[in-house]
Amino acid sequence: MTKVYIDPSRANFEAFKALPRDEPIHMLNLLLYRDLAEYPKGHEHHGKGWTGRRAYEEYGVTSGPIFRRVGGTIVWRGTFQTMVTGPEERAWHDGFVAQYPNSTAFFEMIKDPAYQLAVVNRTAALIDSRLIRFKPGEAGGGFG
Amino acid sequence: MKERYIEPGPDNMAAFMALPDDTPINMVNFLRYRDLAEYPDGHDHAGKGWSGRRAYEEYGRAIAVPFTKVGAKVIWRGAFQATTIGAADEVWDDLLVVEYPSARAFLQMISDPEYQAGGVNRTAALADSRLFRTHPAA
Repeated sequence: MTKVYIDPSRANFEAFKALPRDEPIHMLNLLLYRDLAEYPKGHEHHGKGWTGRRAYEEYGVTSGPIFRRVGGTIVWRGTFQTMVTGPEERAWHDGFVAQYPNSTAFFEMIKDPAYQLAVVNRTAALIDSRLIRFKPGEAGGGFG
Repeated sequence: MKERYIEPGPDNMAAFMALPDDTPINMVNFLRYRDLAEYPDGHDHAGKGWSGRRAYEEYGRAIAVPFTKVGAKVIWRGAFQATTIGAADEVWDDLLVVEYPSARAFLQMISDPEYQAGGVNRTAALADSRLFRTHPAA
């Protein structure tokens, strides 16, 4: 059984904080939705029968204003079709790359009280995920 | 011991072939280079002491013609910094998203003899990789 990941670990956060804070970052998100969202009991969306995808959309709607306020933009978005090189049982639903002006902006977003309410939808939505930080390179040209 | 993946698996290619072949695709490439490239004995670049990164650059140059001919382009490129959600030991070097006009164009590229000759550099370069197919979302 492969391990699943929904939230950052403390060790991963420490590694993140040790990286430069004053340059643009690109965050690759890979998402695998639950069939049915799992909201905590008593949450306003608990028991509505929402799919994981629906709950993730709610995360998008509720976190969007904060994402945009800190200067976040989406630079790439793709719908997973199939693994070509890699374990054949590894599948995702969606992937996207979010750009932030710097890591301080990313932290400003995730510490925002409204974001912390919004992220409950993300946790309810996902059965597995990855979030990987990149320094943006230049598009265009070929491999290598 | 983690498994390494350098080449497409046969079942994966069958899944790829079963998908539509006439709409744009985005191929997401995860790359981890070897410290030292591993060319087969007797290859032009064997014994030159090239890094994996250098060999991958050679791959880019060697396949540039078939790559461009089918209309492929790199639409996003990033240098790995850290895994934030995921295993702390999941480490890559570079990530590329390559857009092809269609799956047919991708297959045309990889069956080109010039591509296949250039592919030796990729195999020599990489310690591990992943490649998955997505369709561009709005």
